[in-house]
Amino acid sequence: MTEPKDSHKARAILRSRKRGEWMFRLMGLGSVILASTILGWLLLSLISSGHNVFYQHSLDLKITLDRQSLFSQEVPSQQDIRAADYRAVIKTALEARFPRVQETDTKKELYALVSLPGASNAVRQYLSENMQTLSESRSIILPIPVSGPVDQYLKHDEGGVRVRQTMSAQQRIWINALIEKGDLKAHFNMRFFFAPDSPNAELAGIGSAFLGSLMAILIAYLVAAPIGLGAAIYLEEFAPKNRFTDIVEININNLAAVPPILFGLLGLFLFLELGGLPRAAPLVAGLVLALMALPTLIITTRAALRQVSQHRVDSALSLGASHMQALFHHKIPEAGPGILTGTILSMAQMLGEAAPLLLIGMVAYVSAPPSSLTDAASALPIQIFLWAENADHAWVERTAAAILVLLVMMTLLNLIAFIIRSRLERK
Amino acid sequence: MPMLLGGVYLFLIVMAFVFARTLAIMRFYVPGLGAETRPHSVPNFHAYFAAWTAGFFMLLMLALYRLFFAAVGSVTIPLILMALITALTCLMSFKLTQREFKARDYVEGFVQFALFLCSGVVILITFGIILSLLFESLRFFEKIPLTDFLTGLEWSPQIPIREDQIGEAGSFGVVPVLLGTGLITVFAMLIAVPIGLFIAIYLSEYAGRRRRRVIKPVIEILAGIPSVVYGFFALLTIGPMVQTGMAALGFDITAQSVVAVSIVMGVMIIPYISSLSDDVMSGVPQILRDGSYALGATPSETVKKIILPAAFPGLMAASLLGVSRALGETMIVALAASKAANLTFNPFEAVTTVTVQIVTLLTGDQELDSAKTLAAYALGLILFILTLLLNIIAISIVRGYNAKFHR
Repeated sequence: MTEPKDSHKARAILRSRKRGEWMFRLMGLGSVILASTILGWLLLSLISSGHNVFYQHSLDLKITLDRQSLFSQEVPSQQDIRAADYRAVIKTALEARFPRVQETDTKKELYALVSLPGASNAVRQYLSENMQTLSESRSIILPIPVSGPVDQYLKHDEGGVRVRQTMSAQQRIWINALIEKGDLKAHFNMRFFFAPDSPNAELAGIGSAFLGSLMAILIAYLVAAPIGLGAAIYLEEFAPKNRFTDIVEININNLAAVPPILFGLLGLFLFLELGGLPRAAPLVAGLVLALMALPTLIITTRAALRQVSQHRVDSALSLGASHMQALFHHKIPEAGPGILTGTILSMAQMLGEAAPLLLIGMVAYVSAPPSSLTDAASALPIQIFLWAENADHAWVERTAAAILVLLVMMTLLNLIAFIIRSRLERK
Repeated sequence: MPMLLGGVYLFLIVMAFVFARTLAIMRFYVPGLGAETRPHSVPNFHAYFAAWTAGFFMLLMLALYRLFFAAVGSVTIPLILMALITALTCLMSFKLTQREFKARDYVEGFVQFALFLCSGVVILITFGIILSLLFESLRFFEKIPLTDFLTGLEWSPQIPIREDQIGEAGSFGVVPVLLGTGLITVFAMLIAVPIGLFIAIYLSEYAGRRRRRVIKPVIEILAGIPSVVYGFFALLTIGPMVQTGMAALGFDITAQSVVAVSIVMGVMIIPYISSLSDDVMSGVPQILRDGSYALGATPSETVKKIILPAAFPGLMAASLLGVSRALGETMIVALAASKAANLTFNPFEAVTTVTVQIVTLLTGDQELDSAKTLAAYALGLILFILTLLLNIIAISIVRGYNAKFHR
């Protein structure tokens, strides 16, 4: 048999087709790998710069508290304890620890080892808890936070020439002496999780921002979940095919794609200007997030309702239940886990939303945690935004750590939703 | 006081409920009291009817009281009135709770009405957005003419530090801001559309079930990361990286360049486009694929010649939704883009966007009536109109597309 004349040409075409196929497939796989790599890179860079924040160094310092020099009264009140200045006590304690230091400049370097506001707070807290036991004068050993530069120096000792430069030779000698004695220790950084924001990086925490976020999310959930459920039930079960229903459907789909920042403008106008509610309040934040979550909530709830099999409803109807009874006694309980999953997922999404909150005034520095729903508060993503604008290395680390906490929170919510969903599937 | 009133309110509602339910059970089911004919509604509906009536009128009374007698400030009078209303409701219930009373119809009618109101909230939100934007924008256009706003080439709403400062009024020409937004959006889409599309093609045409199970969650994680995190990434990593990269090539550019911002924004939009496109392509009927394979086409030829044309409207819609998202994205640009307007087409310069300007204008401490604050609403209006147009086009394309294949 002789080969056809075009065989060579045909084989060439086939080869090029196969090559094209291979290239195309590679492009697809490459895109997937690219996206995954970027995700990995993002997470790794966050972890590598954020993990440092989860531990912090403190110095065990022997502090002498003398009531007469600290307070004028015999029995100082809590108010006095809060108002008193403890910096001098700390400075004396540091000088007692290194008695050979005499010159003013060297003393300044010595004081710079610890975070003076943080140390004052430590003393203040000790006093407010142990005032009764404080007699005329006593010495105690308190763990006090080291200053930001020292903390950075200790964390980046091996790598950073840049970090080394911020410490003078004398300071490095002191630090080494303290480490040798075992007075300078690293420990888990509780402060970061519970402390409010602070102008000093080493003292700043996400505590109050976290609380603000929690309050806002709770309100958003309490407002949006029932309304979303109601709207979804109406559209899925009762809505007649008419103009109103059509408009609502288009509206929901459109609202789900409206930029978040416009909900912020709506909130600013509706709740602050017309409603007269206070700026930066968790209440307002919750309401704005509720408005924003509503469209997606309705869409997911409807999907959950649609997934329920019709058998139980049909049986109930055939036994004489009304439409409403079949719905509320059978369909909605059966769709319950699915609905719950949807609402939790949308709340996880709202937890990371920052843009609308910026516009309702959540940009100011808030030092105290909110004690009520109308107090000025911050939120986790807002705190991240505010810290992110700080180029200083200590702040970059804090920002990354705050992001990690936010991501862990969102993951937890997703995990809860996943567990609920998989339990539903097992049934 | 609100706690007390709320507690009493709930208590009285429960009382009315229990009263009507007990009454209905006694009248309908206790032998000797006439249990021979079936009642129209079961006792629970009578109970709901009574409880909700009491609840409604108590609420009405409390609202009226607050409106007209707020000055009195007494707790006792509302409490007495609430008790009175509950008593009246119980009296009404005593009369109405009969076999033939259609309590169920009323209760279910009310529930359906409440559900209807819930779905109406969505329309209210849209109206709220439109009205608030329009209202404040009109006030802005009283100060700055619309034509100046739309055609002005300079945007510098400086924040005045002193009363007599030069340029205090600021200039509000929106062109550079819109141009900056467009520039960032175009470059972001140049990254997001091809990559997102290829991921979708791989997922829907090439990946087996096991690979899909691994890849889809990864893409979902990418979609779930808050945009403020992407902003931090852009500010800290990508911006300086692009800057040093270009410096190595001999170009001196800023870390806030359009390219850097667009790369990160593109990455943020990839999962959005890929999941929408994946849905669209999975929706293309299998019979079209089978036909193509039967004619000897390779998978890539099937994708290029059959699936992409068939899914084109849907893919178009996905891209439009991506564009609308890029236009409205705030946190990335607020962190990584410039705050100063810049009239340029150069992707290596820093530009500002509509959303950045809204944030900058509204996060300072200025009075609510100034042109600067109102300008934010005017920018918001432009953003709303743009995204609304894109969304509506996309939604109608998707609807038409669904109608074509899922008859």
